[in-house]
Amino acid sequence: MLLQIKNLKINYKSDNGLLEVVRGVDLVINQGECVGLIGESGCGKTTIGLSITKLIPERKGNISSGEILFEDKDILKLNPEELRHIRGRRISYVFQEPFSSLNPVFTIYEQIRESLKEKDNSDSRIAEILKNVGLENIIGRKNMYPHELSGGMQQRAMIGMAIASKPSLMVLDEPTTALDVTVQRQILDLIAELKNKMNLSILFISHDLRIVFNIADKVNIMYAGKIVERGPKEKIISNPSHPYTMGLIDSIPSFEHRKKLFNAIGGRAPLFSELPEGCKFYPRCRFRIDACAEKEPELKDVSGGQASRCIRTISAELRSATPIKWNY
Amino acid sequence: MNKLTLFGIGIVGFFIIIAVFAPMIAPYNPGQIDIENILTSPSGSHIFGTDSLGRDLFSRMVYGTRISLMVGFIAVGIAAIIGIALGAIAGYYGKWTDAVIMRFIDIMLCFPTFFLILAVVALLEPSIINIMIIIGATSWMGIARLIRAEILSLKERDFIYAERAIGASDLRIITRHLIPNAMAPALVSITLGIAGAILVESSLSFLGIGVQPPTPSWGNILSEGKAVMGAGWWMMLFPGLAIFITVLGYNLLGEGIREKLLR
Amino acid sequence: MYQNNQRGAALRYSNKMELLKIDNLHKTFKKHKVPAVNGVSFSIFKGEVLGLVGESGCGKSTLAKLILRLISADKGSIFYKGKDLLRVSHNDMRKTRKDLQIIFQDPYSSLDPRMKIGEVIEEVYGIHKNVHERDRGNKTIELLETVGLGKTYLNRLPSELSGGERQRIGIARALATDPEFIICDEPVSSLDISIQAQILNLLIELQKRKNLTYLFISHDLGVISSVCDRVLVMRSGKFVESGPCEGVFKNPGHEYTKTLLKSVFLS
Repeated sequence: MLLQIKNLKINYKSDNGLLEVVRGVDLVINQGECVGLIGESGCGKTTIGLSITKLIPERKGNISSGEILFEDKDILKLNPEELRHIRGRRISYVFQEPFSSLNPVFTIYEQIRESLKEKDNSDSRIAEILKNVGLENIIGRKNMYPHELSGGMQQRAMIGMAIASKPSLMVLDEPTTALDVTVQRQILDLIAELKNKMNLSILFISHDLRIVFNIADKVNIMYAGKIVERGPKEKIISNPSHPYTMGLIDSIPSFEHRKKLFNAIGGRAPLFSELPEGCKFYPRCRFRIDACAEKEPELKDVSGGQASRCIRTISAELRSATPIKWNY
Repeated sequence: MNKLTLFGIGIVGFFIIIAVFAPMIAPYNPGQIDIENILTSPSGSHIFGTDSLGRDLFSRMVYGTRISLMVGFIAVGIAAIIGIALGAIAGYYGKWTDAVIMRFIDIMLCFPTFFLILAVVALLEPSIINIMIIIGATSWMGIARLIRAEILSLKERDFIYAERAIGASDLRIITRHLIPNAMAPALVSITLGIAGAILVESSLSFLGIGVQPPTPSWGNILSEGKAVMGAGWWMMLFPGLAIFITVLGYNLLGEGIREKLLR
Repeated sequence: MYQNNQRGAALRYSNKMELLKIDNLHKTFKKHKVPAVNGVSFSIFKGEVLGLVGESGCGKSTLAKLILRLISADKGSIFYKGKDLLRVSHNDMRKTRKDLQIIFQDPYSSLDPRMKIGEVIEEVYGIHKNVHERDRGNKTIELLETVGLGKTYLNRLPSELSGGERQRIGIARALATDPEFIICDEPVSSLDISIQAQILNLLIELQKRKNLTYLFISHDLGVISSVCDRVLVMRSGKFVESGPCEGVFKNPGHEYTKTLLKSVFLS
């Protein structure tokens, strides 16, 4: 196990006081694995990504409890010096908007050099990195600034900076969402290639199931601050066992729909200041029974590494027999 | 809210109340001459002392507040109307209209406005109305630029295209949708502009070409004070202080608004 | 190939009325050297959902704004009910706007942040006077219900609404004049997947119920293929391929279409 998050709880400061936005999350990433974290806006997934190296600013929120074990050391207990050694070196990040992540007044070469820190930051090492991320045509052009690159190339540069120090774990948060479709594909292929070449472990955070299902080995699906389903990707796709997961999969648009209506999930995700009692998905769930509203379910194993936070085991028959309610 | 901003609001509010309730606050008639009490220093019966005609300085200051604020608000009101209108038209229509208006702004900015005001006031009779108009007509440029800048970016927002798509007229789009959303930075300029206008009026009155005596204005009281200097320090201190505090108040308010916006 | 497909479409749709005919539209922005829309011609038939797919910068949003005369075209014609919209008077265009509407992509910038929701809808009635003053309140509530909201939304500001709710308001605004034709410019691209499905459902339902005609623009092939009848593939200001959805997606002709399809994860 490279990274193990245990019962992580994070509070955010809001106009209503402190809100718990991550309410007890467990996550495991093994060596060489690509683990996906799927969730819609506001579910807490980005917060988890940032918390891994304590990147959440003090004025925004704080980690209230839990452990984050990286290579068997609890990151939350490290002193600032030790933390610095991990950030950007052992664990690196790639975010959504490459243009805002890159410093516009420094050249690409300078920024890659900076991410190499004290290690070998010679020109040849930089050239090697550029080659690894498909930016061969930048090699030697030391006066290239971020704004001269296209979105895809900027993201490649970001990835280059992230792998420069040969990290064990790379956290990617919506890395392709801001890019064109054809470029998205290229970047994802690049990430997969690097994962294999460098035996990288990856935490891939996104709201787009299609992308996560494509690149991840295992997926975790988040709703209202907790994981509601997790497991190997193939199992989740073929046999989702939580109504939210089912709803998400049914919402993926494709040719098969042919102007038929989607089995969409009605309503909207609850605000953290107004979470209902019991199962948080209850108000929107078409399989709900009274027992669901009493107590929030635990994450229980279903089979073969798959686990679900639903007290009913949704079989295929139940799924086809239960009508969709059209309450927007 | 920032303490300094609150302080600014307090000052502004304080002077507005004084101006509004002047007749009730002033203990004496500001024009009441009392030859026996010329240039008396502050005392129990005249808390700010008297001037060279024996008039109670405190009462004159209180009424002078009305002048200052009136000039401040109306002059800036005129500047705002001109500035918002021209800025909005320039920003929305672009091309030639924008180019012409911008060049006009550039030309206006070339003039050292205070001297322009001096020249105009010297040519015309120095009445309060003239002063307000001339200050207004020479201080709209900053507002125009700010409004124009906001509108340039706002007009590319989807909701403006949506307004056009539903058939809204240009006038409607500019007045109901663009200007209200563009006001924020201009508001700071306007607030600071009030302070500026008060300063200009005080300066003109001080030079003798602003508000004419016997109408009391902080500027012309200060001017009198300069004439008597050693004999009546209170005649320079109080108006000077009043101008200083008022301008400070508006500046703090303006800065406070700016901070609120940046957030 | 594109021309053949257009002729084929015309034949297949010959029993359907041609609602809009766009002819040789051109637009180059002053700051760019390359034209945004470079000689585009096509027809839109009544009752169809015509998809327009392309990556960012291909000109699809510009085309949308050109069709509704929200920006001025350099060259070309747009025929609607026999008249060239680019040459009619301002007043005529205003009246025509009742029939041709648009829904924008970004729910956060498509509403005036200072306008209450009820006012957003009532403004339309005020401009076109298509609803009598005393009925406006009720009609507004009815419209909000049609898009899945209710009268509790009347006095709210856009900042209080979620992305999906704002998008519904955008749809309501477009429906307020009872239009025939609606351009949907990336209507779900800024939304989460579950909300996306809700909004797509709403759009599909409305289209069927009111026999609307859509020009549906998106960069997402999955979305396009799930709602459209025909599709146009756009790149660098021109169309490179067109045809019925099934044909284009199962048997793409042009290289670019093939590249697009390869990039997508259509499970």
